[in-house]
Amino acid sequence: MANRSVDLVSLWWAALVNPERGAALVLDEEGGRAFVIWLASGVAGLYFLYGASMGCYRGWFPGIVSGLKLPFLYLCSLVVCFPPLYVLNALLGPRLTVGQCLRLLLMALSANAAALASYALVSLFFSLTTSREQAGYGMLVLMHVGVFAVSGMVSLAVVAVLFRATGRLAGRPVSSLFVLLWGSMYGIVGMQMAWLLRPWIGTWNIEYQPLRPLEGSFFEAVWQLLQSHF
Amino acid sequence: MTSTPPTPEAPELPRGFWAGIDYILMQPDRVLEMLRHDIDTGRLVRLFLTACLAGGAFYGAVMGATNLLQGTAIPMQEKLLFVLSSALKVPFLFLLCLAIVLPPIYVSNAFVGAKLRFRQMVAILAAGVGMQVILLASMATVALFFALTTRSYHFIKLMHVLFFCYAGVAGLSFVARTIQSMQGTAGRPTPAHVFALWLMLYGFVGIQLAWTLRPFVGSPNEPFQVFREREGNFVESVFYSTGRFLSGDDGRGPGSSP
Repeated sequence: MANRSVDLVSLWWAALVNPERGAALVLDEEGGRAFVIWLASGVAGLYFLYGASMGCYRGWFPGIVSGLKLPFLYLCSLVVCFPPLYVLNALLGPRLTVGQCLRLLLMALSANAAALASYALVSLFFSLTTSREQAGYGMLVLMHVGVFAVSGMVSLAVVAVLFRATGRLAGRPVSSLFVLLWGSMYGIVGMQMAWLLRPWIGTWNIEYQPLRPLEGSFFEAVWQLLQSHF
Repeated sequence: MTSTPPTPEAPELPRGFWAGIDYILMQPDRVLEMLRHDIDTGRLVRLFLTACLAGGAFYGAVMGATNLLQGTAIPMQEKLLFVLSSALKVPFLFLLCLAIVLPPIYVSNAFVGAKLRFRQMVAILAAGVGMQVILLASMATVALFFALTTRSYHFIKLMHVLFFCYAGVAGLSFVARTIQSMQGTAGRPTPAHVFALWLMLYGFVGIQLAWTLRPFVGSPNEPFQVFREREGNFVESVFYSTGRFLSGDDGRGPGSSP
């Protein structure tokens, strides 16, 4: 069993760093359903590490809550978006089957999860050592935004190459319009999901609550924020 | 691209609803081939119309469920009536629109177009409507998610307008490809300006019909009604909602409904 996990890890890592290998893994459905389940749980585990390190600013319980919320955010956005993503894949994309489509998306998420989780120790260190005043909280927010941005860009590079390789191998090159539509569809749902699952870090100014009551949407909040500045 | 007789390995529509839908999405060129050579068109049209009924009812139910999911102040019975009426109205909207535009499109096709046969024309338009509804239904999970997690009536309304536009553009581009590759008995494809007129006709009829069949989502400030008064127009309403949404009104206060 342990040996098998090691095999899966090396299969996954080789697929991430070598796009041709990754495309073959996606298209040949290598490893079968067991690999998909393993990959989904691996993604959840990696996101848990970073989420937990975010929430630890307020203590161990908020840490666990944020740790559980972060994989939920990414995987539930995937569930919500999957039908339109699959249809777009048929219309403009490489026409992957449902299984291949799921593998490709999970591989993309796993790249992001790995990049993010690699900062988990850094983030934990800052969560435990930053002051509880508003200035400290502000700095922590900025640091997390920075980490999300950097790991997002790093993983995007891997994902773009993986998408192209998959398109090439499937015989239908992937257009940038398709990647843009996929990305924005997932991004919009993901942002609303992230808004819904607040608080992630939790300021010390108000009492901690695992979830805030539903108020407005992400888009309204951004618009109001913009309005208050101009 | 002349009408060559079908080759022995002619495309064949697989049995079963989901397999059929998947075939339409994954093999649009084969479907086009089937329409062009009139292979299995009857089954194809039946599949498109079934997709239109089922997908439209599904998306309509999600639209009508907005009040139910957001827990607005109107009585439970009316919320359920909204779900039911929208589930009936969305497929009706698409099918009625198809029936209204078919005669003018067929006649102009016979006079100045490619002279496609009536049967072919019905099949192409049914394919266009079917494609649109399949695309629309694929957005249902996203629409459901936003209906569950947001509070603004205007936001939901604009989101549905956006999804209908997406389905319309992508679905009609399939029709455009089909029509432009068919030469009919006149031996020439439909001229581009004739086709542009058809698209305009379809767009105007569709929008007017959708406006007439309101409400789909149901304003939280008004009691249930199957149809609303004939007043206002679509463009005005989209601008109004955009304005209300941007000024932070969630459409739940008194007097905020157009």
